[in-house]
Amino acid sequence: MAMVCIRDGRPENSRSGLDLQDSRVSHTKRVRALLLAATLGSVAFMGLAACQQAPRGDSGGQMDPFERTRVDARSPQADTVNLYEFSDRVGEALANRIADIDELTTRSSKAVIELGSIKNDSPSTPSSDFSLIQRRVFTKLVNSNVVRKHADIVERRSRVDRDIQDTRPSEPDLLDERLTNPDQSAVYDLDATYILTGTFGEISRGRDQKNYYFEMALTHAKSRRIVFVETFDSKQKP
Amino acid sequence: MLLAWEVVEIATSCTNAVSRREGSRRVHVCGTRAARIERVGRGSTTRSKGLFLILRTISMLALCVGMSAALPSCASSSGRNDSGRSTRLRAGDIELAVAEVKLDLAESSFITSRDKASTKVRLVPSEMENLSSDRMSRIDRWSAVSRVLFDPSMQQLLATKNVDLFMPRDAALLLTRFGTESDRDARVAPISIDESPDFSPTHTFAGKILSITRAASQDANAPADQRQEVVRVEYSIIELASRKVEWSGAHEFKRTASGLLID
Repeated sequence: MAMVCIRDGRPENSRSGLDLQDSRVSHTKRVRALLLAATLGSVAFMGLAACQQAPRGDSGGQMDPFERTRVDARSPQADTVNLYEFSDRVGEALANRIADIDELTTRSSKAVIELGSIKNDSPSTPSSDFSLIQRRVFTKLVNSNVVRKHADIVERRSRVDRDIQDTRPSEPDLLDERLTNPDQSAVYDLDATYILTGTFGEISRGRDQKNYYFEMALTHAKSRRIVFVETFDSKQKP
Repeated sequence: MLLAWEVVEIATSCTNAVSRREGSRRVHVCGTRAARIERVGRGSTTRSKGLFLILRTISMLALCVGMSAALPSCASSSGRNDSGRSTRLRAGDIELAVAEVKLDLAESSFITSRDKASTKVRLVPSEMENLSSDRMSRIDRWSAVSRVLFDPSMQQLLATKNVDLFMPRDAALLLTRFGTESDRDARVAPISIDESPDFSPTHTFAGKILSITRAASQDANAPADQRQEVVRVEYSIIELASRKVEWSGAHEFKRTASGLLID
């Protein structure tokens, strides 16, 4: 018995160039070849089918935080991409508008901008999520030449005081006059201080729909006057 | 002997084959492509014919099912490696953050505006603050900070900008014990001021890691089988006396994972 390939009705040579039309392949060999084909088919099936499961077993890579995923779409909590876009908007808006805020630009000395509190009225999204967003805004202000021209961006006092304590000599003699570096960081006059606060709310409509409201404001510490505010609304339906 | 691919070619190219018998030969013709299975000998039995047909059918089925089941899913998952088994932090994440932040710091106005004649800055790293939903050991938190500052190229750059680097004593010992010290010659904070009277840091190099966690499932009533972590690794240089943030840089990424814990 033999197996022959025919194209257009005429026998076609195999890769080896031999004319197989009249050659004989033993039954055993043919069965082996078919077994091999079956094995290859099975392996191909298992290997390719593994593609469907591949991401579950592999390392998973880093993705752009602005890329919206299935989890973003299905999670009932505030959409992370919306939060990121909101923080970018706040940073850009404050950089654009700070030059128009007279009480900041006409001061005799530079104003100070500090991170303030976060008011989280969203029952489903934890405050730590908004802390990250607030830090993003904070970093944008730090790296904005326009903002830095009008104000100094300062870190929380508790954090800096802790760092000061951690970096002092292990056994400081507090009476030693050579110990010149302060043991506490600066405390600014309230009149010079502006606080960046965040308010985050959520309204549920029906079973699925949620409306989120994000707000960040710059408030004068002494008078509690809001000199800048940026809001963002988003509707989610997982 | 026929090669396997030849058998496969014959099998796959003749799905619409027309069979006819030419004497002792059986010929399958399908359009311009054809396969002929020729019987020459008379030794084949009904049993072997059956076996042959079964094997051929199995191989064709396995190939067809494999291709049809797997290829669409491969196409949909290719190019976006957005799923894994875990969203936990990895060493590589910190490595990437360190690499990105080093470049950012080198190009920052804090560095570029300085030169050898600028006022001396005594910079001390502080332990990274972990506010993420993941755990980081103390050595990892210190290492994430020291690897930025004590990189040889960064040390050279800072030296040309009149920035002195110091290391808190305990952190230096910790890093050395774990074999991750960045520079054996790094100056450590003194035990007492007598040991190093000029030691009074002016700036600190601080790190912070934060994350947003999301979990969801396709079916609202089913346990969450998809998880996502948005991570922000942030560094900043802070003047200790004034609390002024001189520079801040960050590396951010998102990672997703699917499957239940039992998977």
